[in-house]
Amino acid sequence: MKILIVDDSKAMRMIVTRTLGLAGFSGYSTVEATNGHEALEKLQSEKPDLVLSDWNMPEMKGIELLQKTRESGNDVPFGFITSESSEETKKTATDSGAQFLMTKPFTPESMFASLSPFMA
Amino acid sequence: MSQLTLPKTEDIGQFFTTLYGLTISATECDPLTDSELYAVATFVNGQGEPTAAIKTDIEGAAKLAAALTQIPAGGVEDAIKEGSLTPILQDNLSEVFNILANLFPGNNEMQLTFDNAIFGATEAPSYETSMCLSLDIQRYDKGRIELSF
Repeated sequence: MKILIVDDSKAMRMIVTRTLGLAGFSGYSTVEATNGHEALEKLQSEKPDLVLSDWNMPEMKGIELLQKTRESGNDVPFGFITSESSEETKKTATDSGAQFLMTKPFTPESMFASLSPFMA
Repeated sequence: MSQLTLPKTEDIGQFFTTLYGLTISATECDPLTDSELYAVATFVNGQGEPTAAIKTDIEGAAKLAAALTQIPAGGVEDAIKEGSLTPILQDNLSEVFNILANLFPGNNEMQLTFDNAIFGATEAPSYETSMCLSLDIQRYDKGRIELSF
């Protein structure tokens, strides 16, 4: 099980990684990308089983990353971890093919609830 | 008309506790003076209009930034002594400000987005409603933040 964590904030990538452990998941590895362009490359080279992406990032936003991922025929499970919490954002994410959207701040419990269906 | 609401003090403490995974309590305190000001975050509404701000003193800025990635307290003391944050601490604090947009509950139209952070600020936008809090952060001690909209 490989998880691609996409966030321009090094601090947030660290927190997501730490919280995955605190949530009780095991048997996975993580790879990181700092923006959408880098994430598209990692999707090709690393073939992750799950993508956790920020929404607002420089160069390419998370929603554009999701749309390009789906356009390429890649149906990897994709979730957002973002400070964006409006209903409009959630609808846009779902309509574009995201499996879930977690709002920051999150807890190990909320991460477990969101990711469990995808953590084989 | 769309309105923002001021969160309860205990809810703010819980918000920070969830964010950091550390025990953090919040108590109301005296407003920050201009001479105590260090960092200012500005927030915009759905129309891109400046709508709210969060101010911190150097203690609050350094401790909130360091605690996010559990940077040792020594780095905090250096920042407070210098009166400025390192680039890593600035990045951390910017991420904290980004997440703190969700401290201002509002409907879709008034859903706030973090806009900008100013470090070493000497002034901050003035709004009608404000609330100053002393945050007691587990292992890092106290710092102040002030929310206004």
